[in-house]
Amino acid sequence: MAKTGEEIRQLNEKIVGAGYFVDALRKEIGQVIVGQHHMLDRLLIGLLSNGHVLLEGVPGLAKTLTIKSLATAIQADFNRIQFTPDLLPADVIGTLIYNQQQNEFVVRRGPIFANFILADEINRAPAKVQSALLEAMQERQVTIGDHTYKLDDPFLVLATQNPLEQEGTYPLPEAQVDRFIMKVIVRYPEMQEEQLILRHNVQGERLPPIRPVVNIQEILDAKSLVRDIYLDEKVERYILDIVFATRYPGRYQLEKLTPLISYGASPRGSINLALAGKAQAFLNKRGFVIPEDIRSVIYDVLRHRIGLTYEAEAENIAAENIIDEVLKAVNVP
Amino acid sequence: MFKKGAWIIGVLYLLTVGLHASLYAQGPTVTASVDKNKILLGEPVLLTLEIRAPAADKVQPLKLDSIPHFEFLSKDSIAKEDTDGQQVIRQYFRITSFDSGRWAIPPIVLSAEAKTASILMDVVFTDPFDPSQPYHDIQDIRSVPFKLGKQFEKWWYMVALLLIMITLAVYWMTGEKRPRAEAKVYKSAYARAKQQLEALKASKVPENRFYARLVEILRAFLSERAGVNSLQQTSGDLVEKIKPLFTDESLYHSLEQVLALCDLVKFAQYDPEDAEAQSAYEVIQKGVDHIEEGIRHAAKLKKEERAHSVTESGEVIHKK
Repeated sequence: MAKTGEEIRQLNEKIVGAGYFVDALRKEIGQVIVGQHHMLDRLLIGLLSNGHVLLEGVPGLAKTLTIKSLATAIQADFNRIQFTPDLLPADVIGTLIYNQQQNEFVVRRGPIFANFILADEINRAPAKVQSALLEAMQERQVTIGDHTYKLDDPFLVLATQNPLEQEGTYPLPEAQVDRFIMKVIVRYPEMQEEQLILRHNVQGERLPPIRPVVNIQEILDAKSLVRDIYLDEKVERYILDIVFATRYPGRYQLEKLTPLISYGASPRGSINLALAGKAQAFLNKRGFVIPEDIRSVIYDVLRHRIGLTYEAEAENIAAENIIDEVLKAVNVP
Repeated sequence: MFKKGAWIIGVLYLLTVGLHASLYAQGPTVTASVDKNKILLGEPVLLTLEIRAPAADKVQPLKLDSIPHFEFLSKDSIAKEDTDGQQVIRQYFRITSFDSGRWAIPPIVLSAEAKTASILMDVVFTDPFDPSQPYHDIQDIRSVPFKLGKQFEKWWYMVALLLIMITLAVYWMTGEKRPRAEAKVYKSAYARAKQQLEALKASKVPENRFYARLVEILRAFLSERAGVNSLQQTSGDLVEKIKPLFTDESLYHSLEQVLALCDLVKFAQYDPEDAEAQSAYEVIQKGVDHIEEGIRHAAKLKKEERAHSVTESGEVIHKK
């Protein structure tokens, strides 16, 4: 929607006012979680842009603690579901159980009925359970028996995935991975950060409890503001150029990438890049999106949407390398 | 009574048999013949297909597209002639085979009653067969260089001469009227940036376009002169990249602010004051001058470094 300069200025002022909680959240969670600022920012982007986040990384990188702390700081409900090969869809969404006293079936809601869900090791569960969760993520409602139940708002699923070469895993199909707004690679902390972690855990330095710094209504208001953030046509065009360069590299003088890409980013990639860009602008307390916002989220938004060929895999080329080349070739408006 | 009935049945039987026989006799006939039954590999053979039918009959010509083991070299058009109340439809095919062996041209069917007899063909690679001969494989097609026939040569020269004369005539008639192209003068990136800035100042472009153009000029200059991949950099990245090129801190920060202002105008519909536009223009102009000066100074130092090398004791050695 076209906006005048004055409207954008007013929106900017509103965002500066409403975005106070971003710093407060970072500070509060930073007391408990050492480092991992990138992961926290990506969680906030997922939360503000109504998306879900897929995390990939080895165990022990404070994934659970981060989302738990975030839920506490926002005063939201949090549930963790450990995905295992014998998990059933009903274990996630809920089921009907027979109540002998009342002589009727009653609904027993599953752990998905919460604001924050940590779907731990999502690739350990079979496809039908993954589908049930991903459908709930997309539709934001679940059907148990004859009734359909809306899920709470905000609703953020943080799914973690172990490296795929491990045995006994069911890799998420491309179409389902595409439903996550971002795939974030969680890296090891720096040495200094790990030293702090060590002190907290070994030397008995007690961590302060997380205090609520914002409520759900404020988050919902912020989400509404994020939707209103101005995205200029030039930035839209920049997003499209990037996405199209992953699909048709030849059009952007990137012929060398053609044999490396089996499929480019989907239209959902463009949409999510724009949404994540808006949320990033909000985190930077801005009422409009600039190319920097797009570039700062691009790796997390596109890395799971670019299919690589065997040739690329043989040459150890990752989606990030493809994105690097695309960014070098596409002109910034 | 019985005798009369038998007599009627006998007459009807004779009528039926007679009618059938006459009908059969009048139906079309089709024959196929070849001019030889034994060919060498690739030798053409003429296959003649002939249909004879009463003149009043409508006969569909046969469609012969393929014969197993044989290839068609040419097909003549269908010839039709009427003689003595009969129509004769004839077609010639030139066929050959590259498969040695005894093959049959199968019956060519017009209808259930009208079909040709099969024809046996011997395809041999040598005749008579001499087992002592070496094996000669089929060779690839050779390209023959194009050569104009002797009889065409003089015409060819005449056409060429005519074309040259026409070209000269056209040049003579139009050559003087054509304005001479100005010799291209190579301009450095700096000179071009300065010229573009002057042109921008003189032009009355809308504000949005003015700021976009201002940044474009700076980016193009940096890309060409400083080797910064500036066209694909965001303003933030660009500011970081050009930091080493600045010795004047305040100018650097002013440039940073101007780039942020340009982003505001480009991406947030910001409507700046006239004074801001003038100030932004001046900062970009100064920035271009400063970067150019810095690059020239660095180049000069490098040149001097190459010309002199200093020994450990501080003695300067002049290189020739």
